[in-house]
Amino acid sequence: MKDMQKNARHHRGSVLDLLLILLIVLSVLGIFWREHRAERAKDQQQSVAYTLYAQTPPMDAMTFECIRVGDILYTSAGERFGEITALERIPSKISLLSGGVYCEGEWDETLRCEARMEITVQAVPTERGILVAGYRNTVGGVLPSLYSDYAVLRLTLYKMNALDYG
Amino acid sequence: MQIEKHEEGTWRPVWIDWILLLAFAAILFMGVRYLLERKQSALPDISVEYVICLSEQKQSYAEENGGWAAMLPAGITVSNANGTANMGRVSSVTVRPHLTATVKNKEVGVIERQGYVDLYITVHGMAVRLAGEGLRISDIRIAAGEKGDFLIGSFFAGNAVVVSVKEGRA
Repeated sequence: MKDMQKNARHHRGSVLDLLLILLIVLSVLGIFWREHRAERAKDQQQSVAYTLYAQTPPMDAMTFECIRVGDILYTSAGERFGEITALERIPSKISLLSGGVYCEGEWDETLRCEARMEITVQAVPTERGILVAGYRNTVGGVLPSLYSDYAVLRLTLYKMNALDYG
Repeated sequence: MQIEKHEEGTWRPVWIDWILLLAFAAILFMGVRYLLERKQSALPDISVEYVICLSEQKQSYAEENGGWAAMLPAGITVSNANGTANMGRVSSVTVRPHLTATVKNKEVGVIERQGYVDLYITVHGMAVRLAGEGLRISDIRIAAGEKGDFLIGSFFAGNAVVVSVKEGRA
């Protein structure tokens, strides 16, 4: 009986053992993190400059004043996405259905507008589009939410370099 | 000092445990120090002026409560929806008619919607700027185009849109 108790004590983990296991887990995570960083650095070396042509949804005219040429855009994770190299204010369209017919109009630009912009990015070409700041599928459509100094932009990508997705 | 020894049959001497424990404690200490330094360097030092827009507010609601100026006086505190973070103070409120698009004789036009207004509330607050993380007030990101709920005094400004953000005077 005494021997059995002694054996059980031997197999029971102490707090020290738990801390050591935690240390080992952290070390393994650290190794994975380093490898991930090294892969990203390799991707950066293979990157090519692209120009993305994107457009915002309708917004308040005051919001347009918060976007400037030269603004650096970041993802929500704080990674650099690209730089705004050209910016244009365009009128926001109104489309209403009346008597089965769509009628078109525009908002006064001093009240509501949309913004078209060119964004220069460093991207890695892949089989399924280009890889910018860790985002795949950057081939057209909606970009992730991008933050400039003073604004958040939810952009629709309609053209990339010479390739037209419009 | 008497150091406890492992019983016979264990696979490592006790001093390795202690060295590893010290190494772990050192890593932990450095981590905590890094976090504290980061927090200290992130003290609010940028004066920010931002405008929040509350669209389609009932004018009759304000009239029953003494008007917008009485409900949202200058200097009143703005906080997040549950009132846990101070987001600054109101500096001014602009009331504009709420506009809506309509079709008349197959022509699209913009008309004022009777009984409804848009409120543009200018707020002054102190923010921090972290690299790649923009301007933050009480750890809440302030960016034009962002939507959120605010508490202005006791007035709940739900689904408000931040329409403008500027660095103000310190």
